[in-house]
Amino acid sequence: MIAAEMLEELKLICDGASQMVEGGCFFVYLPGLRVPSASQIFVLDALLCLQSRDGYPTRLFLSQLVPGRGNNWTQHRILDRTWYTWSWNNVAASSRPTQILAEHLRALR
Amino acid sequence: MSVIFKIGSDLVDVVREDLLKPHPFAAERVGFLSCRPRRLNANGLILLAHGYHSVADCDYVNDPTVGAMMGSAAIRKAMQVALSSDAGMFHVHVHGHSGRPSPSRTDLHETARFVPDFWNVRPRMPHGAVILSEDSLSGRCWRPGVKQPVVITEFCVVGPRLSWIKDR
Amino acid sequence: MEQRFVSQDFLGENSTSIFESCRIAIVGLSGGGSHVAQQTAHVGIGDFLVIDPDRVAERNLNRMVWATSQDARRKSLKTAVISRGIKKMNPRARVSAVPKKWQEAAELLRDRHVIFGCVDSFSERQQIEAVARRYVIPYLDVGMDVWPIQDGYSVGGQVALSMPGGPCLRCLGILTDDRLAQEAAKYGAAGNRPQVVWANGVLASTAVGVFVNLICPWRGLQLRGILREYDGDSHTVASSNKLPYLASVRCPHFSGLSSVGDPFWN
Repeated sequence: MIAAEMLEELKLICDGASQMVEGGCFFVYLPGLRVPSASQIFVLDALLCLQSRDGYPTRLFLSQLVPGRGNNWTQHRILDRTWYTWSWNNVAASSRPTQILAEHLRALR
Repeated sequence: MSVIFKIGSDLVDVVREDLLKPHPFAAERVGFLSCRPRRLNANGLILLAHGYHSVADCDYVNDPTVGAMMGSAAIRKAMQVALSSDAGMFHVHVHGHSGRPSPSRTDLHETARFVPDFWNVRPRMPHGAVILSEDSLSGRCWRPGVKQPVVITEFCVVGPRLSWIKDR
Repeated sequence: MEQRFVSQDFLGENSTSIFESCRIAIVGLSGGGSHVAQQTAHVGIGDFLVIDPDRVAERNLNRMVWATSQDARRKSLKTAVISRGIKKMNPRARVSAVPKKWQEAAELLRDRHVIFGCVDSFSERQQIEAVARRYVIPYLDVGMDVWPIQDGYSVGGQVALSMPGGPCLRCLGILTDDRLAQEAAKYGAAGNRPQVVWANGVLASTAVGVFVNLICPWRGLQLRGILREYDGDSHTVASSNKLPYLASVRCPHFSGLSSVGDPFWN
């Protein structure tokens, strides 16, 4: 379960943020997240996993991959949608949720 | 159009047990299945039953002209379930014979009257009506915003025995 | 009953029509998946969705049923090889071949009665199972492995049935955070995993037996949770000793309204 205050913090960045769960893993759904990359801003849906999954302490999944940024993109089927993520590990779960999100997005700048 | 209704065998057992209980004055009992939908392809739908909601004894109206008549409280409670569970609601009752159950004229008339009312609380959900017989199921589905229901083309019961019944 | 099925008439007088109307998916068509396809075609399954993005390579020929040297030379799609094999066995079978990653065609899984997962990766298993649970579809997982031990190698594997109301792959101990983490750490250096035809055959046969018993039980009903462990060194298949404990445990990983249907419907 994601703590209510963590969800509220993420709503400051994405007001549609909501909790979703699958297979015992909790995600924060971030619809229409603004993802800055180089000279462009992509508006994408995202899933932020704030718990350990597949060997990553936290992970960010996007509804499409960001061209020219990120390494080793992989495709995942979660909540019956296809999501893309890249190799960017060691973003600790102990940070604040907005810091975790910012650290993941830093890889795509 | 393909409409597949999936239900766990344990949920079917719960439904049967409730619907076969005697009622003080109604000749038969009714209830509601709450369902979550998913599009199958451009033209199809899957309905996944996840809960059964019995109509309480006190929520029937004593009407000897029909097998069972729900009062407004029963509908209100079912609408509350639709709202709180974000579900499509499917009215369910039993026909006491084997083979594919067919809706009676009363079944068709009554469900056409109250099923679309569920769009007042969940306008984007499909709602409908299902009938169980001793060994089969049939049903109809009202798709969001479409007045005419479609026949549920397949029922799939999932449990230690997996079985399916196709509408012919 | 058609002559070709008289030897399986103990499965019931309706078994032929049940098999003919059954819709299955097989994800992964190499070692385990090709055996599953072959056996289910023999049994008379009528509707196949076969999914694998790969082409036949020389190294697949030690175990992939129906694949030939010519297929390896031509780099035939695995889906094409399996479709060909099924149709030769049963020209009336309906076969949908998807030569892509299954995630790119996941919506096609929704109308299946049963999904067989014959994939190498734990992450893929995790994802396929989640789809199967979401659409209330029994999922049969087939896995084989060879691992080095002090004086040689050990061959083993398992067949698991994950279905609504029963234990999932996490409950059964097949999916663990450690396994998923180790797999993720090896990304890009996975190499070729050892696979052999006889072990794949035993496991696939076990899975098909569980599947047939699910739709045409010949002796009572089986459990919702099944885990058969294969010891390839002693050539035995046995029920896991975890199951009696799990029989009284409700799966905590797939429960509640959010685990079923389209979470984004509205």
